[in-house]
Amino acid sequence: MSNLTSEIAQLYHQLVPNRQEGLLLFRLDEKIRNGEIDANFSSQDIQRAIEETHQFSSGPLPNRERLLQNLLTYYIEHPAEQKNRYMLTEYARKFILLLEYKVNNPFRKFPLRESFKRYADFSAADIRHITQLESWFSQGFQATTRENIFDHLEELKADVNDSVQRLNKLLYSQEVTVQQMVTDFSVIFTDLGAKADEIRDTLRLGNTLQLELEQVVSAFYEQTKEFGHPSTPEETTAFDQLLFAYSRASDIAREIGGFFEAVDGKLGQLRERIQYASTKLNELQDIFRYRSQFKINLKRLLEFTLTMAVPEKNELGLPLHFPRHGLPVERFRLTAMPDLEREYAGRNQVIETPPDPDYHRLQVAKVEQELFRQQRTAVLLAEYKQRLQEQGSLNFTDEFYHILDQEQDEEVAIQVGHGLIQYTHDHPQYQVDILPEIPDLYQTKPILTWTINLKQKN
Amino acid sequence: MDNQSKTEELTADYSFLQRRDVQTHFADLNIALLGGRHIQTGEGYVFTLVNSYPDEFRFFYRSLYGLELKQARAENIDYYYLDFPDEGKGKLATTDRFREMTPWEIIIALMLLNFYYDRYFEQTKVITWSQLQKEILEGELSKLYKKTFFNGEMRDFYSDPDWKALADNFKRVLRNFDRWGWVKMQPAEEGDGDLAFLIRESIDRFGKLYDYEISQFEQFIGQVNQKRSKA
Repeated sequence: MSNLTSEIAQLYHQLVPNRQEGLLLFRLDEKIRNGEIDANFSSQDIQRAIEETHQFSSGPLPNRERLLQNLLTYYIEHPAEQKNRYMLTEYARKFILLLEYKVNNPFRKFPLRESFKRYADFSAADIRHITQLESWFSQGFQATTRENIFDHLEELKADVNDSVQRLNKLLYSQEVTVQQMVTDFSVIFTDLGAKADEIRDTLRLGNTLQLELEQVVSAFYEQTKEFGHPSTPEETTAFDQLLFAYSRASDIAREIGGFFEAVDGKLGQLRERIQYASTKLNELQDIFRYRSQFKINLKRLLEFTLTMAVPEKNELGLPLHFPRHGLPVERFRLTAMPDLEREYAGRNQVIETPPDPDYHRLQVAKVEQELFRQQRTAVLLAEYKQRLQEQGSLNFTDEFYHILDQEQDEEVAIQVGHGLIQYTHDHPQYQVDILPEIPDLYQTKPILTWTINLKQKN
Repeated sequence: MDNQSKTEELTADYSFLQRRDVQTHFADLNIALLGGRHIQTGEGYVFTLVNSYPDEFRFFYRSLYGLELKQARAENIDYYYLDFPDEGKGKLATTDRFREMTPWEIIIALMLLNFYYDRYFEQTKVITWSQLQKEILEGELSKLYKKTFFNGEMRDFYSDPDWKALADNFKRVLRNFDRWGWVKMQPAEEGDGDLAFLIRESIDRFGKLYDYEISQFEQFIGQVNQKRSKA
């Protein structure tokens, strides 16, 4: 936490006066302004002011010395060389102004449009040098206009809120005649209408200001463009200055743009509220009389019901003759409908992929080749089994290379070899002889195999 | 032939149930309506569905359930709900199929309807627990609220457990109202005190239920007093 917070926490009671002290300060200031007492007032003046403000508080009359003791820290001081007189400090004056400003804001009476005109008045033609724009921005705009306009908007918001609340209350006024009520409504709405007009005008003024600023920015930009390429050190300095002027002007224009966006947002809220309230009024017109009575009766029924209600532990009871109306309500206890599922559930679409003819052809060819291979393998295997049976023995190494040459497919040769060796090995009448040597004839072949002889058992 | 019977003749069949849009969302609509919901503009496909076939659904509920599908309008917002016909309670007559409003519900609904009109010119009618507490402590009917809600104990301050017990009762009732479509529970923000809800236009239905008691308040009070003196 910052040191400032803890410092303020310690001094708080001296910095901010309590109710009795605050009222005393106001009364003294008021009396000075009315010329009832001198700016350098006496302790009797203080005593009298305490008595006058006492009517607004409850409890015994506050003690003068106790009040003074606290106020003498920041709010009241002795004038030079007058130890028995008192005067309000500058801090006290600021405090009084702050509260007065909040309660009785001058902007409430001063139209928004006027203050905007006054503060945002600006002409691009007047700006020759960046310092002029700087001074307008930092002294004129930042320091006063900005804050003033925001203050103004706050007040306007308070005004609109106030009007809406007055409208709400008007609905319940029992004694007022319909005619009077309509008149009252129209007064409030004329007020609101004027406010809406003001908002519109103000926005237009804002647009003009932004346009002027854009002109200033582009004027500086043009100047840098016309300058050309600097060659001497003097020219470079001058060019840098221009460049600075341009970038500073753009910054200012951007900041003001941001300010108007904020203003626009605040005005937008007000416009919406005014709009809504007037729509409601239009709807209400026809049923005005009835509604008003209805609302008054509604409040009476609530009052009556509360009077009749008897609290019984955590429950409430109403007498039997109090009407209990009902609704058709079928509880679907078995059908759970979680809230999420009540929201619109998007459908899942099945995504159809278009056929890829090339891929399809490739796969078909592959399958066909595989089928052909199996077919050939089966045919050859049958053939060699037959030969083995007929000849009683078979040099499979020769046959292996023969198949390889003939079929041009090592897979077929290997499958046939595997099938045949398996067959021979499992068969009770045949045996497999494998010599771990490779005949010279086949040394250069891509696939090498031991010498394999299949023959009948002896 | 008058308009009423013309409509009936046109819609006296259930063929609309075969339409695709009806089939997709019928279950949601049916369960919502029979569950006591008031379906108002802005409630998505369920409202669109009933609003597209109002006559067909009217016939459907009248002939199969003996209930009236009613359409009402409050402040430019339409809403639909099921109601008992004038002559009885239709097929939801068994006690577990209709609800008489409880005293808690009646009182809270009356409060909400009052709040609704108090904020008639305001765009969003959101109520928070803090506002309810303020109304109970400082409102016009503060004394009666305290008597009713705190077992007759009149104090300036109530303890946290006292408030919690009351808040629980409010929440219980508001959850029902949320189901019926009269309010919409909102996520409570800091400072709202754990409870926030929006009062919807269809709270108007409660006004309709108690229309006689409100509109003819004097007469109603007269009758109640008569009954009381007899009892």
